[in-house]
Amino acid sequence: MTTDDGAAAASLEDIARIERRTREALVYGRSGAILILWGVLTAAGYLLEHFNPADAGWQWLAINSLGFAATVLLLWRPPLSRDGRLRNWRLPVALLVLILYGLIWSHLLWPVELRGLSAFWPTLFMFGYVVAGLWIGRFFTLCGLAVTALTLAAYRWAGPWFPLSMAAVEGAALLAGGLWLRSVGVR
Amino acid sequence: MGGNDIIHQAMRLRIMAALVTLAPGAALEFARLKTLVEATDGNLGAHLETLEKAGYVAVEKRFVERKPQTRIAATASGRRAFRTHVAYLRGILDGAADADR
Repeated sequence: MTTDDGAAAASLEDIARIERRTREALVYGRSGAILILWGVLTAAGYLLEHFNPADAGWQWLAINSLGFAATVLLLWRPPLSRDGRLRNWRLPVALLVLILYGLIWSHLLWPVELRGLSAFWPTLFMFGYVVAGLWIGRFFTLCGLAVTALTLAAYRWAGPWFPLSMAAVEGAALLAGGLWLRSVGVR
Repeated sequence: MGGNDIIHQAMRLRIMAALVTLAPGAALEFARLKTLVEATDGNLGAHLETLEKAGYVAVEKRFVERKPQTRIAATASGRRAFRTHVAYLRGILDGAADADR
């Protein structure tokens, strides 16, 4: 078999493209469950905040701790990709860094109105999605931008219905995103 | 070192690239593989048959919720053959670069 350098370069480019698509599908398939988890948890958190605002701080701490632990467990499943990218300590650490960053500013800016804090946290996590999307797939960037826009709109216009609208909008957006990822990704 | 005639064909090269990206032992569903490599059902089926005969892929057919499902995984010899072929392609480019200097 003879192959010239032009054909060899084209074949290697094709291989790189298919490997990239496959890795993206693997990340999407595994991330679907994580988005569904956070969709359910955030919807529950905002519902609790609406009906019991006095304990919102503790409620959110419990929900975020539960979400973090479950996310680490989901990431720690046996890897589907050759390089085990999803079973990577950097993802939980990145999540932890975001949480610590949020906790530090929540503490420094205290006393802060609950409504502002409730809008700040999802936009902080969505900032992480937007940045991560630059590496792991544009869906995450689009999802981050969409949820941020919906959060800001709810903060500006939802009035006293802000927590309920966040439960519906953010919960539904994350759930829908997670289900879509499961349908297009490799599990 | 020569190229691999079976793997060199463009669609089979794509199929192997997708399967080798998975962890050893992990498999892809037929429909998912078809989307990833941009093939038609018939085309993918024919190339998988060639790769299976060469021992490069393992095809498993099973029923999931009463629906037939075909799952494909690269075998150890398929992974080796793919790696060797990629090294061959890189060698051609390295040779061309050396000749240009």
